[in-house]
Amino acid sequence: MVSLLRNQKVRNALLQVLYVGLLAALVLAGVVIARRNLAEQGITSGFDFLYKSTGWDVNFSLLPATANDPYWWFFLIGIINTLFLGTVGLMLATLVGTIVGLARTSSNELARLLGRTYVDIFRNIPLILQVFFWYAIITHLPTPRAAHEAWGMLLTSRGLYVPVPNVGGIAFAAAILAVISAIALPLWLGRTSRLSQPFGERLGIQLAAAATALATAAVILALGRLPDGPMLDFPTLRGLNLQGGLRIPPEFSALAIAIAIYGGSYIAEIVRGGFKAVGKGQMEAALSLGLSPWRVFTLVRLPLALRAMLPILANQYVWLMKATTMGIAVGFTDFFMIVALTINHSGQTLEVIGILMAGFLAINLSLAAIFNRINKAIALKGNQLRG
Amino acid sequence: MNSSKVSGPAVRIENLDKYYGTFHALRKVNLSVERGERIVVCGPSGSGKSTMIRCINRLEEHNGGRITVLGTELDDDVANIDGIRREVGMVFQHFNLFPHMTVLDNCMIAPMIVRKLPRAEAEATARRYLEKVRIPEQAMKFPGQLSGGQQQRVAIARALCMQPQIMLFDEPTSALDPEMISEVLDVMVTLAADGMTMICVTHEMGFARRVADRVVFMDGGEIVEEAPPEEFFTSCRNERTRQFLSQVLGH
Repeated sequence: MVSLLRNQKVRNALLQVLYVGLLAALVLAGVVIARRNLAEQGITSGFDFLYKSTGWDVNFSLLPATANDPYWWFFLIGIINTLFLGTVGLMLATLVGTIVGLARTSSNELARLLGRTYVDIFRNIPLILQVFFWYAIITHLPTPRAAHEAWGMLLTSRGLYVPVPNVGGIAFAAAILAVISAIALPLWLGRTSRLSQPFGERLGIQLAAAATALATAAVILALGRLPDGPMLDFPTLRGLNLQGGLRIPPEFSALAIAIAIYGGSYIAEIVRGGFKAVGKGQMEAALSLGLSPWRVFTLVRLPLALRAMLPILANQYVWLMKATTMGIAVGFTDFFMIVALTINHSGQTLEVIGILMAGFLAINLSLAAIFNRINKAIALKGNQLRG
Repeated sequence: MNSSKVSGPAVRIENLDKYYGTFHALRKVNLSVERGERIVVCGPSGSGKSTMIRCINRLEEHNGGRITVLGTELDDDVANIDGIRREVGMVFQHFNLFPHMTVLDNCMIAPMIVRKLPRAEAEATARRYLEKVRIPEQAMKFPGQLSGGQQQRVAIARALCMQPQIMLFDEPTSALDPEMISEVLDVMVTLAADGMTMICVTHEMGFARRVADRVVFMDGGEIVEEAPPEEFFTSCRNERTRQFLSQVLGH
C-alpha cells in the first residue's frame, strides 16, 4: 500500500480524481444553494421568458426589431451588434496600430516621437473616459440644419449620415464582398507562387481580376436595385430632420472611435515588437540579392514580423472584443446592454448572466480558435534557426 | 548594366574611410580585385574585414574614398546600388535564409523578382545550383529543418541563382560545427575552380593556402599586408601579421 502511494503515476491519478471531485462538489453546491434561494424569493427559474416579447425597443439594430419581438431575438440582435462594433473597432484599431507602430520603428525621429506620444497618451487614459470624450464631442456637433457636409455625408449631433445605394440588403452585402475581392484578388495574384509569370510582370492579370470583380459588383447593384428612388440615396434635410441615407448613431461612432484609438495604442506596441523581433540578417540578405526596400518589406520583414505579432495580437483582439461592453456607458445596445436591460425587465438574473457568459465565451473562443489555426499554419518549420 | 563587357578590375577600393560615430573603422583602405581573382581577407576581430566587404554591396555606407564595382561607382544613386547588388552575391556568417520559405523558394524569389525570370526557368536554375552544392533532395524543406552546414550551402546556392559575377563571403564557416565546415569549404573550392571572382573573409588558413590568389591581412581598420599565400604564410614582413599567424596556426 505504501509503495503504491509512492508510485508517481498512482499519485498523479489520485490528484486528478480529487481535483475533479472537488470541482463537481462545488458546482453542485452552487446549484443547490441558488435553487433554494430562488425558491425562497418566489422566483421561477428557467428559460421560458426567452419567448415572451420584451416590451422595450433597441436604438441600434442590423436586424428588424420592435417592442413585440421576443427576448431571444433581442439577444441575437445584441450579439450581432457586439460583433459588428467589435469587427469595425478591431479593424480600425489594427489600422491605427499599424500606422503608429510603423512610425515607432521608423528611422525618422519626428515620426518616432509622434508615435511614442500617441501611445503614452492613449494607452494611459481609461477606455471609459475615452468613450465619454468622443461621445461628448459627437453629440455636440451642429444640429441637422447646420450640418457639416462632405462627399454627400452629413455630420450632425444626431449621428453621421452617409449615402447608401438604393438596393436590397443581400445584394448590398454581395456587392461589398465583390468590392473587397476587387482589392484582395490582385494583391493575392501579385504574391502567389501559383502563377508562372515572374513577380512584377503580372499587372495585366491583376488589372483583369480587379475589373472583373468591380463589374460583378456593378451588376449585383443594378440587379438588386429597389424600384423606388434613385440609385444612390443621399441624406437630405426635410424640415427639422434628415431623411434618406444611412444614419450611424453617435453611440456607435463614439465606441468605434474610442476602441480604435485606445486599442490602436496597444496594437502599436505589438506591431513595434513584431518588427523589432525580425533579425537584421534576413533583411540584409534580401537587400544583398538586389531586392528593393519595398520588396524586402513585403516579402521578408512583414511576413516574419506578422508571425511574431499574431499570438499577442489574438490576445489583444479578445480583450478589445470584451471592451464593446462599454456600450452600456453611452447607451449602445450591444449584447451586454441588452443583457442588463433584460435583467431589469424579466428578473431572470442568473439565466441571463449565463447567456451573457456563454455568448462571450463563444465569440472569444471562436476568435482564439481562428487565430490558433492561422498561427499553426504559418509557424516557421524546423528547430535549427538562428540569427 | 552590361558590366561583363566593361574592362578593368572587378572591384576597386580607393582610400576607403568608414566611421561608426567617432570610431574610425576603416582607414584609407586600398584594394583592387581582378576578374576571376580569389582574395582571402583575414585579421583579428574588429579589424574591419567584414565592414570592408559589406561596403562593397552597400550594406554599409562608406564615408570617404571611392568604391568601383564592375566599372560602376558606388554612390548614392539607387540605380547603381541596385545594379551592383544584382551582380554581387553575398554569403553571411549566420546564413540568413528566409525561414518562412522553402529552400527552393529561397533560391527562386530573387531571380523571379529582380531578374524577372519566368517561374519554370527560375526553378530550373535553382535546382541546378542546389545540385551543385549537393543538396538537391532538400529543395522542398524549410531552412529550420536543415543542419547548419546544409543551410550555409543553401545560402551559397541562393546567391548563385542570381548568377552574380562576384561573390562575397563574410566568415561563412564561423558559425558551423567543426564537422560541417569542410562540406561548405568544398563547395567554395569548386566555385573557385569555376573561375568565380571571390572575396572571402575567413580564418580557414587551409582554404586560403589552397585557393587564394592573394591573402590580405587587416588590423585596426587598415590593410597591413597583402601577398600571395605562399609568401604570406612563409615570409610575411609585418610583426602584427606574424603575431596573428602564430595564434591562428599555433595549435
